[in-house]
This record gives sequence, structure tokens and C-alpha cells, in this order.
Amino acid sequence: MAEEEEVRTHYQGLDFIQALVEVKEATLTLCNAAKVPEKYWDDKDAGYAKSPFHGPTLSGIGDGAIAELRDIPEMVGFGLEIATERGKAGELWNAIKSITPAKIKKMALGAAKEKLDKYAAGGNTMKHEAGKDGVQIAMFVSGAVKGIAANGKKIAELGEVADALENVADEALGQVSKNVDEIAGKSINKALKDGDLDVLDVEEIAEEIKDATTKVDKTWLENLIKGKKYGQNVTNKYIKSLDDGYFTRASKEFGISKEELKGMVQIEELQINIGNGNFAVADNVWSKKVVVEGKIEIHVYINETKLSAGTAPTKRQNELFSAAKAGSVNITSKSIREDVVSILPKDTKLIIKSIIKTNGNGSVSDFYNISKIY
Amino acid sequence: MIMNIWELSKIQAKELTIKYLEDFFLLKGYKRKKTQSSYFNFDRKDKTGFDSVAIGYLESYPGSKISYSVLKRIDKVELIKDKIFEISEPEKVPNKRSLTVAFSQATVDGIFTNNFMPEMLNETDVEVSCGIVKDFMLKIGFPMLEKFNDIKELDKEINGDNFWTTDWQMPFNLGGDFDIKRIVIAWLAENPNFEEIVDKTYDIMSQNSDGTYYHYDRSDLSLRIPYTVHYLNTLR
Repeated sequence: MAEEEEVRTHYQGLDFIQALVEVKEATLTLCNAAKVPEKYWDDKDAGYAKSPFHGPTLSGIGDGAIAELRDIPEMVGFGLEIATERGKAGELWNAIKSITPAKIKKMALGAAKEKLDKYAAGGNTMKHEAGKDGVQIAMFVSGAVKGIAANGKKIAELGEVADALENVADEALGQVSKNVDEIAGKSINKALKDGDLDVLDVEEIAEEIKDATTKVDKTWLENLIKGKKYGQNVTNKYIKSLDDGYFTRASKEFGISKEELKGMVQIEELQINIGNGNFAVADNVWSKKVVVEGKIEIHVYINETKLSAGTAPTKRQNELFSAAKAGSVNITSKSIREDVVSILPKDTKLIIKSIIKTNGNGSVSDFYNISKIY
Repeated sequence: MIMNIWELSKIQAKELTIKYLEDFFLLKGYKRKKTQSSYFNFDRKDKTGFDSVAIGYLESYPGSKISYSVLKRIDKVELIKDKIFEISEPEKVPNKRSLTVAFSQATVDGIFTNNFMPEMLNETDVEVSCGIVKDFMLKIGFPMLEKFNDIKELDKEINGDNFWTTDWQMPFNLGGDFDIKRIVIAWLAENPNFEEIVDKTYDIMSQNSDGTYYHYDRSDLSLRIPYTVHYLNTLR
């Protein structure tokens, strides 16, 4: 079987996002346990057949393909960013940047077994080997993506998703392409190489991609961008200006007085630790400090803006809603945003009292409806 | 053919902000902490801790807005707080970037939101916003940071004649844990009214926000204020 044919056959029927999730599993295992999951290198392991990247197949693409890896496809960086934790992705990306084709050629997945001994030795040797293997797996994935890209026209669905992902990343950068084929994600590549891609933006959007239950296509992307525009409209036109009509309706849904709501600390785009290791970004947050039985509590009221009534919350938003409803005591403001600590100290425990949704009618307009989520 | 749908994205705004602020802060001894995301700080370390200006951005389609806070860490205060929490609240992990003072133009002006800077759609707008930040730093930010290098000055602000009941929605906050830190600051400043300040703190924390009264057991060392006082006494 020809190599390209082999790659294509292997990927047929596989969902691209599913492949990225597999990468996450692999890289996190590497970083946390410093061990290459057996299913990625042991063809006797039950999981090997289901693994989306088979080393021998991909490493056997040939010298020409390996040489092309010098220009690591934008999808590798993007894939890593969205498929791994931020810190880990950054480490791996830095490692990837130092890779040369010669180094890649020396990497053979079969050598992974030998590395296990080095992992057992612990210390820096272990970390070094784990890092190298992380890069190795990243390179295999890059090969996979390369294969997908090369066969994009033949594998319509994967090609479409790849295009869609590139568009989303461009949107994160503040750019969108009129001609997907022409830019082929170069802006992503450049941004990642230059280290100026806003990882947090990508993370948020990546969450939405992973959450998408419907087909990720251009309509979905257009709606994503429209949603952002609509959210800004609501914030600027009604919330920041303390619009009386808006605050009357919002406070009613929250179950507090309009005057109290208007007098609270108001924060936009607040990153909130959900308490399960994930975080959500709340569009608009109002907060107040209260004293309860000798303790200080920060009570918060949250608004999430959606383009239409039918726009579903993201997975992370649903996790936040569930945690709030359950009365979780582990919800905190995220410390990375030091620019907001003058109004909300970092790592502050938040008690979410109520959540509302402001939705539009599917277009970027002045229309809004407010409903209570919690 | 790339069409830019944003007039100024966060990343573009960051690049331009650095262009217009980095030299300004460098002259004052602040160095930029490089980050991958759009958020970053200008930090200046000294023997008492560090001063910092944290810069972030809000989306404001089709542009962006700067969001910032001016920060100060006083190691002595934070290290004592960490020691207290080792016993009273062990779940709180010490953080080398925990802060002792945080403020911005908004808090000084009594506007409590991170959405207080003008929208930026182009480089000229960024230059204007950076000019606002510089102006604030020169007139208020740097002098305030300098003033609070003397802990007695910080103590005077919060524990003085105009005794604060809270740092919430005040010109600056203590980076969280106000009830504990104000006592620590009073102690470090050798405030002659230390006992009175502790008493007042108990009174404040005994008043529930709903108007009811809470009996604060001042002898219960499992509670943070009694333990704070106890711990400070061991240092004398």
C-alpha cells in the first residue's frame, strides 16, 4: 500500500477533534507521568489499533515528507495549543522549535521501550526523555496533519474541518480569510512561531470547538464571530452605560434591586476557576463583598450573552453553572489576570448567587431578551 | 488575501502598548515580563518586594481596551500572612505574587470596573491610552507606590483617623484578606493603637451584612483573627 494511501486509510472515519483529544491524552500523560502510553507504540496493546497516530506508518512517510516537517505545519502548533494544557503546550512548542529534520530522522517510536528505563531513573534524565518523546509524538501528529492536508480534497470531511479550524484560529488572531486555500493558516504559524498568539483566546475558542455538537463548518464559524460582536454590543450599549431598562430586567431576574446591581463592582471577561481544574470566562460579572458570621464572602452575579435563544452554553459554561447550583466552595477568580486585581483580588473565592442569559435574535442588533439560568 | 475584521485585536494592541510604554517604564526601573498571552506586567523588584503594573485587554469589537492595575507586594506583610495561614487556613497555598496593594485610575476615581479605558481602534488610539496610563502613573501611581514603601504611611491610610471598615470599593485594596492584613500592617508599623485596631476589626467582623450580629469568639485560635493576634504576639 502506498504511504499516502496508508495514511488516508488509517484516518478514514476518524474525527479530527478526536485525534486532537488523543494528543492531549498523550502529552499530558507524558508530562504528568513521564510515560509514553503503550497504545501509541506497542502494536500488541489493545488500544494500538484505535490510536489515531501509528508511529511506523507516519514515520515511514519518507525523507521528503520529513524534510517538509522543517516547516512545521501550522496545524501542529494549533493542534497542540488547543489539545493540551497551556503550560504544557508552550513547553512542547519551544521544544518543537528546536527540532531539525536530522533529529527527527533519529526518532523511532520503537525506541520508546528503551526510554522507559530512563524514565525509571527519574530526575533530569527522565524529564529530558519525556520532553523528547513529547516532541516525537507532536511530530507524528504533524505528519498526520500533513497527511490530512495533502489528502484534504480527497477526504472531504477532514479537509473541511481543517479549514474550519484555521478560520477559527484566524478569528482568534483578529483575522479571517476570504480565501482559505490561499492563506493555508500561515498567520497561525507565524503567530505561534513569533510567540504572539494569544493562547487564552485560542483556548476559549478551542473549548467551543470541542463543545460543538453540530458540524464545524463556515456557518458555525460565522455565528461564532457574530456572537462575539453581539456580546460586545450588549456590554457597550447596555451594561457599561448602566442602561436603566436593561438593569431593571437583569436585576429582576437576579432577584435583587436595580440600585444594588448598579452599585456593584462590574467586571468583564472574568476568568473563573470552576474548581475541577477547568476555567470558564464569564462575559459580565457583578460582585459585592459581604460579611457572614465573621467571614468575608464575595457574592457574584453573572451574565452570559448568546447570539440567539437557541445558542447552547459551552461545556465549560455548563460546568460552571452546575458548580454554582451545587453551591461549590471551590470557585475562584483566576490569578493570571493581574490587571483586574485592583477591583477583585486574585484567587478570591466566589459565591455565585445567580446567573442570567442575555440573548439576541440571531443577528447583531439591539434586540435582547434576558432569562434566568440559575 | 487576508481581510482584517478587527480594527485592533488584543495581540496588535499588546505590540503597540509595548511600543509606547516600555521605554517609559524602563526609565523608572521596570522590566517587562514576557508572556505568550496578551496579559503582561512591568515589574520592578526591590529589597522590600516588588512594584508592578499589570496590563491586559478587553475585547471591544472592532477594537480593544486596556485594562490595568498598579500593584505592590510588601514581602514582610505577605510572609507573615502566609505563616498565619499555615495554621489557620492551610488550604491557602503561599503565592510569591500575592499582593499587598492594588489600585488603578478607576479605583482612585471611585469607578469599580475594569472597563474604564477608551476604545482603541488604531495606533493613535493606543498612543492616547498609553498616554493616559503614563499620566496616571506620574501623577498618582508612582507617588502612591513610593509612599507605601513606608509601611507607616500605608497603616495611616487604612488604620488612621479615617478608619476603613473594608477595602472593597475603596481607592486601593490590600490584595485580599483585608481583616488579617490590616492587623499585620498595624503591627509592623508599630501603631500605638494596635489593640484598639484589633478591637475594631472584631466589631466589624461581628456585624453581618444582613444587619444581624455574630458572636466572634476572640479566644478561639482556630479562627483567623484570634490566631493572627496570637501569632503576632509570639513575634514580639
